Amino acid sequence: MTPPTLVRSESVVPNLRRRPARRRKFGRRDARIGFLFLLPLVVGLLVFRFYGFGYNVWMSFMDAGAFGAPTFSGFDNYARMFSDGQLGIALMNTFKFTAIIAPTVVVVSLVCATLMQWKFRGASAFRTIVFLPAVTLPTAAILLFGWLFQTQYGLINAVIQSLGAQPVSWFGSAAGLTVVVTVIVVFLSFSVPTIILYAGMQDIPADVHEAAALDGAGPIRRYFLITLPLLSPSLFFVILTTIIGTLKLFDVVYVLLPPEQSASVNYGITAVYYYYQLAFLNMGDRGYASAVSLLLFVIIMAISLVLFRLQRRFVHYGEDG
Amino acid sequence: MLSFMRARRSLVVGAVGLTLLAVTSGCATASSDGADGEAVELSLQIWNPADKAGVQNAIDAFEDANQNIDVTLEQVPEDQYYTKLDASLGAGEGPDVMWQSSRAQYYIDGGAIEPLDDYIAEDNLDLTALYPEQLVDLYNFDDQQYGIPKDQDVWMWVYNTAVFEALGVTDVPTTDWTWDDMVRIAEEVKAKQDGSYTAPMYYPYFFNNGGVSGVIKQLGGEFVEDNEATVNSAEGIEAYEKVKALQDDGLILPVASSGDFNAPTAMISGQIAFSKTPSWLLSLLSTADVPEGTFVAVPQPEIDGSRATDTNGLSYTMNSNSSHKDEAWDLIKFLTSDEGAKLHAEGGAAQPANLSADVKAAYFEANKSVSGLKETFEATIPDQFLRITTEYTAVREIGAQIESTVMAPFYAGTLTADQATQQTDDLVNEALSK
Repeated sequence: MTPPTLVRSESVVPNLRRRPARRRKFGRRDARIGFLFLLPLVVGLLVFRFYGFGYNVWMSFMDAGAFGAPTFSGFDNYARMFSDGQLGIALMNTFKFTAIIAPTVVVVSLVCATLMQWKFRGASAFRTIVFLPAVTLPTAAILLFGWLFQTQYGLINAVIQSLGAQPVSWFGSAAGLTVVVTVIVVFLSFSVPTIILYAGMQDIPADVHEAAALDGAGPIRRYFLITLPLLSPSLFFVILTTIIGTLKLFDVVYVLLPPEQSASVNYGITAVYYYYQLAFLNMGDRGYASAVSLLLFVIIMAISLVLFRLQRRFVHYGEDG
Repeated sequence: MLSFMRARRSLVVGAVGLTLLAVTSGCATASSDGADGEAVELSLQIWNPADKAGVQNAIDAFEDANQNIDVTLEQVPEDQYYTKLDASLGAGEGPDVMWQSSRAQYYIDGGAIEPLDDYIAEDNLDLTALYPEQLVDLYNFDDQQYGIPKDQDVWMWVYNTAVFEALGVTDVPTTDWTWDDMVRIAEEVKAKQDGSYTAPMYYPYFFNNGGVSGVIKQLGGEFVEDNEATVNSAEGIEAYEKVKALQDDGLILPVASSGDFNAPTAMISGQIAFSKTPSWLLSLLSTADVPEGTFVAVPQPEIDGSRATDTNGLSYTMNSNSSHKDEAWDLIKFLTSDEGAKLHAEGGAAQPANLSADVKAAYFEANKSVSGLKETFEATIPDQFLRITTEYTAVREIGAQIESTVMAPFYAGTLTADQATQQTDDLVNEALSK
């Protein structure tokens, strides 16, 4: 057994010493290049997110119109919220829409994702139809639904009248508008959650279902006791993003109730629409608008924290989780 | 390996370049040439799409007369107009010439609008001889003139003769009709309409802008006296009740159902028989594909001897940051001159503020398919008053709030006229106190 020659060993040692040095040099250079590639994104984040957020916080302590220099007003904007009835209406509408729309989107998505797992005639067409709203221009869809629900000439009221009932004033009452907004938001929002839930269902190991079936569990029992619990991480994500999205609802109510139709606007004004009115209509009340937007931020943050707390109890990430 | 290094270097340079582009693109200044004799580019920003054709007519003639000036007309939707203006003027940019209305003072206080007195003096213009004094004064702040009146709003009534004929109603609106006549005619139309019609007529149910506030004035009331709101008065309460009665009697659509109702469209399709109509929407009726003579204009029905309706007038103003103020003034002067206003009038939209008989004749000619227009304007203009949001610009802030928190529940029956007028006063006083 001949030991390796010293010469070869010596020749290896310096190499081993040099390699890390070269790797470090190469690594630093790679990192520099990597950072350069990240630069556009980082600059974008710094300017449009961090600076924007900081500026918004700063503005919330200012008395600022849409034009001209703002003046410091301390906590006046925050104090004003407590006596602002219009803000109360906007927040109540926002919570009402969230309470109705978020569960509806989750249930519809879950049903569609479940149906997508089944093999039936027209399954491919069904999948296409499910994903169609995700690639539809939201404004076009909102306008289309607006025409369908139009009080005097809309197709929906025409059908209602042909059945002998009185036409419904969809935009003239809080209840009517809630129905219209819910239908539109659910239509525009359920596609992506459906895909997420469908993908989550694909990740559930088949042997778990097989084991349960061997133990005598029927399909409904397996769905509620195996599929749903193992789908809970995806469900949690869908619930969280849907709630946040609905709390920030703006485009649907803005297109359905443009500012000039102010007689009906209180039936559907949301927190973001109210923020828009304050910041961008009339003379601009941007200091107060910033405070309102931060209130919405705090509300969304609080709801998200509660949901994250709850996920410890209700979300199952498997053995590793 | 070498090509890989080159490619990587190119990518790095590209990334840095893109970043610099992204950072600096927001800092680009407004385009404009400068030196004398060279081509000058001016921009003009307006909001009403119905006005675009007429304004472009006038711009074309201006460019023909000023070969070195190129004017770009930009029409921005009304609800985005001021947002865009705030951003661009706030950044020291913005259009050279722009429309302004009751928000003008706001921009003047911010130093964004150029006073025009020197230009007016240099050209020896007597504004009060050329335009209604009421509108000239709207753009005069601290004895400085910031805008030249562009148009003058006129509210009128238009009825669809085809609908009246189809229903067999011979009792039609006339130039000397009264409020009671209006109610009587609407009741007859309603009695003869079947389910295929929407309503007998349209009356603006708003507080401001063609709505209830005009009835208060017709009854001899005021909105504000000594900087205190006075809507909660006998006249105010009666005015609120008069318009609500139209809704409750089924003569106009229930306000709750009218959120998506479009009066000009309903007039053209014959869904309603007559409608209170503003001059800035008249071209929608005059250019509609209906037989000539279908639409006839009459003035506001009289109450207690008054035909009071509100008015406002837009103006052309100059950006104080414009690089071409002399050329911008030339454009403003032309657009509001007899020649420019006439060309604008031929587009058929808003009635020019220019008092020239030729200009008025061009406006009536452009809208000749609506008969009775000249007589209607002559009967209406003497009784006009400044819109509340025009005379008291602070009220503009709470205009939408009055509609949503006072007028909507009032028409729904959850507020009495006394409560609604009192709440209107509270909101107006709050705005006036700021």
